[in-house]
Amino acid sequence: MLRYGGKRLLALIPVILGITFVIFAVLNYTPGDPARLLLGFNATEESVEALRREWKLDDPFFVRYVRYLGGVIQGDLGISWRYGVPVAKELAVRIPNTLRLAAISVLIMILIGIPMGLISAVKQYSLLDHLMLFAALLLTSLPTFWLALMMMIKFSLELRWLPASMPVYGAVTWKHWVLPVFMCAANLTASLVRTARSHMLEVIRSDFVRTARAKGATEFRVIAYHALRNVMMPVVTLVGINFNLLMGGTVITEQVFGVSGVGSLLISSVRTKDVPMAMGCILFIAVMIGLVNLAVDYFYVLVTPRLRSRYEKKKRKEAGA
Amino acid sequence: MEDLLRIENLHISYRTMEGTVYAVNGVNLSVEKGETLGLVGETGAGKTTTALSILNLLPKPAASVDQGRILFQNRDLLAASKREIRKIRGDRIAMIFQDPMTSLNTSFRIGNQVAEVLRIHRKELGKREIEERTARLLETVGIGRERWDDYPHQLSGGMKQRVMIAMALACSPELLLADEPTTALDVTIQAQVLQLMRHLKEEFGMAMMLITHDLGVVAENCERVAVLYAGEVLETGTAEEIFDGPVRHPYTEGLLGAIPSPDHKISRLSPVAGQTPDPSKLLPGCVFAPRCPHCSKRCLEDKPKERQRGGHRIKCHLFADKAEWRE
Amino acid sequence: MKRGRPFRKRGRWQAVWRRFCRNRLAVAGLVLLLFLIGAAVFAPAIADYERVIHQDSANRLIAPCAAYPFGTDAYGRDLFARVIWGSRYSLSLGIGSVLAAMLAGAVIGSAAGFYGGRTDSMIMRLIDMIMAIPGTLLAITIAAALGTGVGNLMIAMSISQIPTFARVVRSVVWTIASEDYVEAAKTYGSKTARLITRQIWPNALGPLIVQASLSMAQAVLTISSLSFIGLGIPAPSPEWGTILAENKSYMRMYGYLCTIPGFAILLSVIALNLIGDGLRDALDPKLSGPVR
Repeated sequence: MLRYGGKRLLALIPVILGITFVIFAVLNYTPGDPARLLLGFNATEESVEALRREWKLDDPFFVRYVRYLGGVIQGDLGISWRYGVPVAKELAVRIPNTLRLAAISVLIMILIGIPMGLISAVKQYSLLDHLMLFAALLLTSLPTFWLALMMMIKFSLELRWLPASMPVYGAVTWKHWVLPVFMCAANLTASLVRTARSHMLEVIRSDFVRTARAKGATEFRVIAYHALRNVMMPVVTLVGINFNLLMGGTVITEQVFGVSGVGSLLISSVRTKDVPMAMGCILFIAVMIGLVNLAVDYFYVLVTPRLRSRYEKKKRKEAGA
Repeated sequence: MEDLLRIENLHISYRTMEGTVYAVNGVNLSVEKGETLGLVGETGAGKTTTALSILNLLPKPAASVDQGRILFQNRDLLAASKREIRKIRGDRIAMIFQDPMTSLNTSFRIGNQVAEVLRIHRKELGKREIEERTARLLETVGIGRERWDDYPHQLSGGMKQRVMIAMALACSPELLLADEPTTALDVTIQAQVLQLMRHLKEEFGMAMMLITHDLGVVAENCERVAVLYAGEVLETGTAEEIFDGPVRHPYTEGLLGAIPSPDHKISRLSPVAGQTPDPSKLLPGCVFAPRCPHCSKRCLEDKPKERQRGGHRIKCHLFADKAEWRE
Repeated sequence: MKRGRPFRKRGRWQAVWRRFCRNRLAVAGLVLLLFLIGAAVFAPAIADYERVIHQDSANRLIAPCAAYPFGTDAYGRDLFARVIWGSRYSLSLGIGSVLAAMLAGAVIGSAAGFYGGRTDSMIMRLIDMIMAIPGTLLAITIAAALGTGVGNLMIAMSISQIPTFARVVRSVVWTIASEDYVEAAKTYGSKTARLITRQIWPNALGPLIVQASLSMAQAVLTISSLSFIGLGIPAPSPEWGTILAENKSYMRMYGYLCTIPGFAILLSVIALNLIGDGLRDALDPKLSGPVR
């Protein structure tokens, strides 16, 4: 299993390379000269030219990408073109906020979304199932930023229970996180309810569940022992997919609530073509996605005997040799 | 005569998006203690539906038993509570399914899957005892006890079906429902598995309902045969009556004609022409009439009543005027 | 039963349509969507464009009434006219970007799947690379880099959705390229292009349509979110997300300014989702009907 983990860790590299490459290309091939954007339209042609030389903007695209990667490998994320501060330093401030938002959202997704989907499937056609499906359809179809607005009206402006956005000064309390987390997780949790339900339905209808019933197992045992173990495989994959989607969702959430996280930083740096800063943000997101997908793959192998034995056997053979 | 299992006037339908499908329409069957009943018929004749209904395993809520009784030792299983049915499942009536590839749980070791039956129904046994019995069961079906820890993906199709058989035999049931146990297997493996089942049936003294569309399998394994067509039993009789007797239902005749075999003294291959009727419509007359070579006007309008001579029962108008065939 | 078998085209789609019609929710979604499309198409007849942009300081922030069914905003513009005209942006961009991505994805996916070998692995590597970036994130980045505007948003939305469709098509191509009838067509010497258009695409159509309607729902959501955070369609245009962003500051006292455009988004997304679910069930009756 360790060997498998090591192998997958290597597979992380193309994902990170791919994501950073695509975004680097987007930043490079979209109109707008970074130097001109920073200096403004009143600046002289010479000063813009000087800045372009300083940033080595006239080098070919690939040269600049490779140079950037070289820096990253040596642990140098570069200096923000706009603010002149090291990118790593700025990211260090932003990352905890984004991580908190993402982690709590994922937890909600897993702890609420999956059980609700499974229960809904087990109680198919019941009132509970219908209600849950209706709520899930509504939540997946809602623009979450709009839902956040509505909740702001109710809970922040009318009831004054929760603050409407992050404070500019002063301490951030858990209350500040309630609405952002809700906005971030609502959509994906609802879609997880729907997909977990349909996977569970498929498992419940499968032959081996019928075998378990034919053995005389109680309904609880059939579901909790036989079905649950098998529905874990597709559900784990779903969580991975949803995490990728979540990484897009956090950006919008951060922007709406003024959370000082990686996502809002990404938007502002892409807008101003602050390439080192934008790439730093993307690098972080790419690593997060890579790591979560790695964990998902690992867990998938762990719950699938067919795959697990493939790697265990290898190990045994090596030990014997 | 004491029947182990008696099915009376069973009606089962499925509600689907395409409308109601009438799968079983008034089936009467009985299995005596220790005997093997062959249930033959084409795909869609209602064989599996009948078998699943015995253990209340029909897919819910699509399937519904509309009428009838299923008496197991004179107790109506259709009226039994969930708890009672659970106690019978796997312990007194066991079932083997058609596709061993998907019928085992891929997540658990085969030993545990066999042992589970004992853990459910033989709670008084200790851990050791259960493990020992499981190992013996595996050996009985020809799987070494060293494979206890294997997962289903490590076994071949034939071995998986053996595991299913071991599971079914774990509690020495009085009745075994075998739903096309060899259809998914290679021909050579088929013979092995059938031989094993025959052997075990004698050893354990249980009754068996063998569902198949393979008449060769029936001829070798069954004492009595019921021929199912479009959800109705058209003919029941001993294997001799069906295979070697002088008279048969025209459908059975057609089925026998469909297998080229020198033993059965049928020289010409005469497959049954046409297709099984649309199961979403109930025919007013004989279900086989549209395909029957002897079809008359009466067959299309009137449902024939079952007539019998000894234990041999036939549902066909051809036998209506014959004195020795009584209603 | 074998999947991916070539059905006689008409019979198959008739059956799909029959099953779709039997699903009441899906039909409701279709009716709702047609209604919304109708509103978008006939917007000029329903409300004069003049009312969308006309600022009237005398009639600011009027609650919904007979003259202004949805009220007026802080500039005295008619919200009803803005929401009706807004459907033109949201729906046409949502549907248009998905169709563009679908077409590109179909070409890329069928080329990759059909030729196999090196072409396939090269294209799919590239697709995998783009696929690794969450669609929303890619759309946000492209939109932020290009700047606001209808054209830019369209480009961002289309590109970010291509990989999804390429994948759907390729997986279909893979499963059916090995089927007998495609092999047979190959041995008869059918041209590749002909094979792709005659054999592959008709079979890929089902999964593609399902994916398209679900993607459209997602696209309408993403477009309005992008506009809301200022990356989509710029301010005076009546895109629903843009309207919401403009009215945000007045939402406390004038709730209708935010509830109504939000409902417009919700309705169109629900309609598309219901259609998508209905189509999926209709194309694959196994999933919804009883088994055996």
